Amino acid sequence: MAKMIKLVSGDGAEFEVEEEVAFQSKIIKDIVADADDVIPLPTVSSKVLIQVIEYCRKHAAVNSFPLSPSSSAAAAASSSSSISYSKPVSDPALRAWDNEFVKLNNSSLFDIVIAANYLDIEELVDLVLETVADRIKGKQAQEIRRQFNIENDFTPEEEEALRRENSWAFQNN
Amino acid sequence: MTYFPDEVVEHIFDFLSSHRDRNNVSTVCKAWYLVEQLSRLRVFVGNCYAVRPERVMARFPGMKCLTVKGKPHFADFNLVPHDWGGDALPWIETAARCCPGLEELRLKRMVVSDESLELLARAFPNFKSLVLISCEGFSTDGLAEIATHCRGLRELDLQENEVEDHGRQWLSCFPDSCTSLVSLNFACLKGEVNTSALERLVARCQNLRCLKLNRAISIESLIKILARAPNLVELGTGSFTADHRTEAYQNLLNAFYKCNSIRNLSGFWDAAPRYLQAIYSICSSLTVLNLSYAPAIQVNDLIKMIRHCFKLQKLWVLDSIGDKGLAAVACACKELQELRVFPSDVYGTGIAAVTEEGLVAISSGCPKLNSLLYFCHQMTNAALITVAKNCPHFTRFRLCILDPVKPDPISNEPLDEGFGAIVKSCKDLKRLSLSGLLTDKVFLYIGMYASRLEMLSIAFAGESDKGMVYVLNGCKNLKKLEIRDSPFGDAALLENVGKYETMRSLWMSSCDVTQGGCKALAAKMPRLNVEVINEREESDEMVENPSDMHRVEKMYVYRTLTGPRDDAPDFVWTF
Repeated sequence: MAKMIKLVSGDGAEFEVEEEVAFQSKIIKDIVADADDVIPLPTVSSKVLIQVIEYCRKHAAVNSFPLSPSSSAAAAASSSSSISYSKPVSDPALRAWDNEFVKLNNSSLFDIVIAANYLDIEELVDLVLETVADRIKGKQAQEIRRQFNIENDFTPEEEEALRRENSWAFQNN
Repeated sequence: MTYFPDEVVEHIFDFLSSHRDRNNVSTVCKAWYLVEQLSRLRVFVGNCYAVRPERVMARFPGMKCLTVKGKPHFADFNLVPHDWGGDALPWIETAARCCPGLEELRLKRMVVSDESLELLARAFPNFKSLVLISCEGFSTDGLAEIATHCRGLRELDLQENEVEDHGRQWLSCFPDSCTSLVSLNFACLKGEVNTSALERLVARCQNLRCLKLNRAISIESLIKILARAPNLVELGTGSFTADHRTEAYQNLLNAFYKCNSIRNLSGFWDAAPRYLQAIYSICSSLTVLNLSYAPAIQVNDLIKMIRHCFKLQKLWVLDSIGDKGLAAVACACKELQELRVFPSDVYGTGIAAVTEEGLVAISSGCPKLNSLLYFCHQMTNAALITVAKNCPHFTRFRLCILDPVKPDPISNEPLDEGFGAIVKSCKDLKRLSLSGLLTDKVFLYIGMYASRLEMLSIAFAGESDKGMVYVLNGCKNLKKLEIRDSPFGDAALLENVGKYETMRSLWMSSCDVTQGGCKALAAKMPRLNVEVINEREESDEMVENPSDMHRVEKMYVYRTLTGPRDDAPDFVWTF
């Protein structure tokens, strides 16, 4: 019988997850080591926690039941105490699942990355941030601002001077 | 407004590798600017005179890898005087003060003194990689400093540099403790090296993957080296000829047989045909083959070799390959992406080497071709039109017909239509070099169709100012324009002055631009450096007070954040 950990979201919802799923989070792993099985996560809403758990469950399952020689090699390469494997995710099926998983709007992605950052789930942080980076690539500043709802606090002169410096000094076409 | 902590933003930026993307994010808001400037590790400076080194390092204190480019491209054709500028020392000095964590330095067309190399060797404890391309000003003494003091050096890559030979000892300066080399390229060195030191160095650097030997290395040494470095991926073979009448062939064959990883091959300076057969076993894995320094290889041997090279992606050869050899390439090398055909006999008449037929054969046999440099004696419009149809994916197309202003030999027409077909068909064309007889019409086509063009080289082309104006008004992504011996004058120069602030540089030599025109440009556009290079050995009177009507021999214009440079020699006037 797998050991269960109880996670409690900021809005009071409780989630029971298998230990190996929860241990994708280094923080949780450390807390449980201090002999506490009920873990309050006041900064994580239940909506986000559900998504994070879904990710952890998928990645824990892949680790325990390798679907391909490459992922089992990766799992074998990592030590038993910390379930993390070298990037990039080598299993194409898992990568495809990850790509589907991150088909979320920016706001949801940020909520997830804040939570994953707090919970110290390295692969999830990387996955989300790489997705965000892909949405930035090739875009001009104005479009990036619009997409991420960021205010432009440069004066027009400052912005013009900066663009000029970037373009005249540091651009590689 | 979305808020993310700085470390999250920095982590996002880790995934942005292009300079363009990093530049864009730095202008989003002040917080992003700060995160970006502190986290940019790789810095690219396309023109060493566009920005001061102090500013670069103040903005990017965490810089680990710096690339700087100096002289304009036409320096490769000896059009830029040696002491024009492009000194690397200020960059190295400033980095030594401000960015001692520097790990990699890449310099192109710069003047690098031994003093600079000595400073470089001593000032950066984590220094790992030095790449010098088309540089000059240093000797093997400077290399000795690098070898001696750069602990943990991974890469020393010398490409096409002018290096003064002060002896063979520099290679022995790598200490016995040096085991970190991954890449060593000294192919451009003229002098001898200490071969036993080289063999020992290779033996202890187990991670060595790229080794490019110079001409002084014989086959006997090569064999010993290969025995110690069977995991090489890139190899420059050295002279590929034997010192003595030893039967090196069998040993060579065995040596290559063990080298399963070689993908990139060059060298072969004095290659004797019988030794070439030793490499057939690795030909089928090759992706890059550079035979441009191998005039000794005869066509038939070349064809025999090429037949095995079915994975080849990049091929550099001499024009002695002939149309027949190119036909063989077209048959065998279906993965070919880049072809460079260099002239072997620039001044003599000799045998007609490659013609338009060879190019057409390649274009029809190699569907993935996207980059071309082709020196030839003639070209026809029909051939270019066919090539344009066969290969719409060219990003780089440089055609150099050795006889300037040569028309299509069949129709006697200019080559406007041929090049027009190229720019019309190749929508991703970024770089173009023109040659042959060309009127203003070709420039009309270029202005109309070459919307992605970034670099254009013009020689002995056009009829009037209109030609240059078509290009300046049309090519919206143009970054570098270099023109020689073409009838473009002040009217063209001054037609669209704002354009030059959108470009990195403009070079014009032996055109019709006058001193007055240059002054006018400088007056209108204070943020450009308008440099006039006067090397003439004329009477003092002429040089001191040339009138504004005086035609300018060489002019180099570039946008800059720093104003006129303070290291210009006295024959360079900045207006």
